[in-house]
Amino acid sequence: MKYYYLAFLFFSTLLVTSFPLVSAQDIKDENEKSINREDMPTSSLAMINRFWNKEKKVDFYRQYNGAMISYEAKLEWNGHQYSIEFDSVGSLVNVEQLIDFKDISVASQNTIIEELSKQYTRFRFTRIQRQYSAEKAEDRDETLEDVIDEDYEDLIIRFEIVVDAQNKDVMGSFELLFDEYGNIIQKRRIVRRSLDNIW
Amino acid sequence: MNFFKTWALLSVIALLPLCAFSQQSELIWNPELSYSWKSSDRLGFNTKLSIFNSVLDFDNNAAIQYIEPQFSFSYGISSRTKLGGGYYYRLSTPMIDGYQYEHRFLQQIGFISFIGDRRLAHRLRLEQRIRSSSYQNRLRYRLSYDFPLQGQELDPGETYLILKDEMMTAFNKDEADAENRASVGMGWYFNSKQKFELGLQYRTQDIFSDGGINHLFLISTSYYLNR
Repeated sequence: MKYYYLAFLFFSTLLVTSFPLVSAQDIKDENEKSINREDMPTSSLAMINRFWNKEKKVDFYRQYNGAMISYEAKLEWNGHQYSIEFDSVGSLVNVEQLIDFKDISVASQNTIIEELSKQYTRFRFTRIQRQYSAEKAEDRDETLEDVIDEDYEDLIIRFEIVVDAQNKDVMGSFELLFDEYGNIIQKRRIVRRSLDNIW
Repeated sequence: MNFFKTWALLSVIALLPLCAFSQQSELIWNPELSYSWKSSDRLGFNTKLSIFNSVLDFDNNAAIQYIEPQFSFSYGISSRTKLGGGYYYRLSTPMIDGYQYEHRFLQQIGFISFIGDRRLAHRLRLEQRIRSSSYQNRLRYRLSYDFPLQGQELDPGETYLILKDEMMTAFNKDEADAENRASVGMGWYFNSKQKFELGLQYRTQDIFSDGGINHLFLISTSYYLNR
């Protein structure tokens, strides 16, 4: 009897160890960890505290993309979900606001739909964010104030849109970045976790 | 979230039925090794080796209740809906004279929804079980939910929790019965190609049987490999 278990253990170990636990291809672009408020860079916290008091519910995250660390604060404000991203020293990178497709101007909506229709036969929006970032690097830390004041003059506005989409050759989830007018800037495939344990 | 507390709490909930442990109870250790690959965005395959070991008979030839190699495929009709089928072969009590076999064919449909990196999956499965001594159909519905325990996304090196419940009815021209399987598990996500799950499952079997309900407690250790 024990030989049977030993043989099972041996072959399982052989198979498992033939897959490297870590390899270059396995490293995900962004590794996100939930952190405490006090683990955020001081300057980023100061920016958050300027507009919301400490009682405000804010979730904090540290991200690592293999090359650099960034931080993110997520909160709900005025009926929208916001993600505020900071670099490793706490300077603001961008502010993202969760929106509905109808919140985009009709002209930009049409351009986006036209682009998606060119690429896919079927698509469905799963997440739409309006992204605000500073035009000039020296104005980065004023981005949050500009968003709150609805002063968009010095801001670059983009739309980050996630779709479930398919055509004859491809099927999956894709993240597309559009400019303010609906012109596509970037597209990348979202690699979903394998479904083998729940399917 | 203090996931150790969560895990401890869910373990207690899952093991509560142990209080009902009696003559009609079984304790099983179920090691599984799964390997999956995709040939396109739509078409995926899975092979798995699943073994049922009776913990109470661990010192004798009845320890291995069955060995089951499995093969299944799936076809994505959309990014959230999959159709699939498969074939399982079960060799029962291989260490005892007079072993039995079973050929099983299955057809299934699944629907998956994503809430960030939280996943909710519905699966409806129809099975035909051709045994050395009998034939049986089975209709199964399973609801599965898994979510990361650290942050909103599951990153390499992190853990996740998985909850499942499956209801099924088994029937042929002579008889019918029902079963429920509730399980809780914790997963270690090493990277996109490898993960390990430790699960606790409680099966309420033979619900409509005159002989009374049978309780099965199962500890599963599953290793998943992906290409």
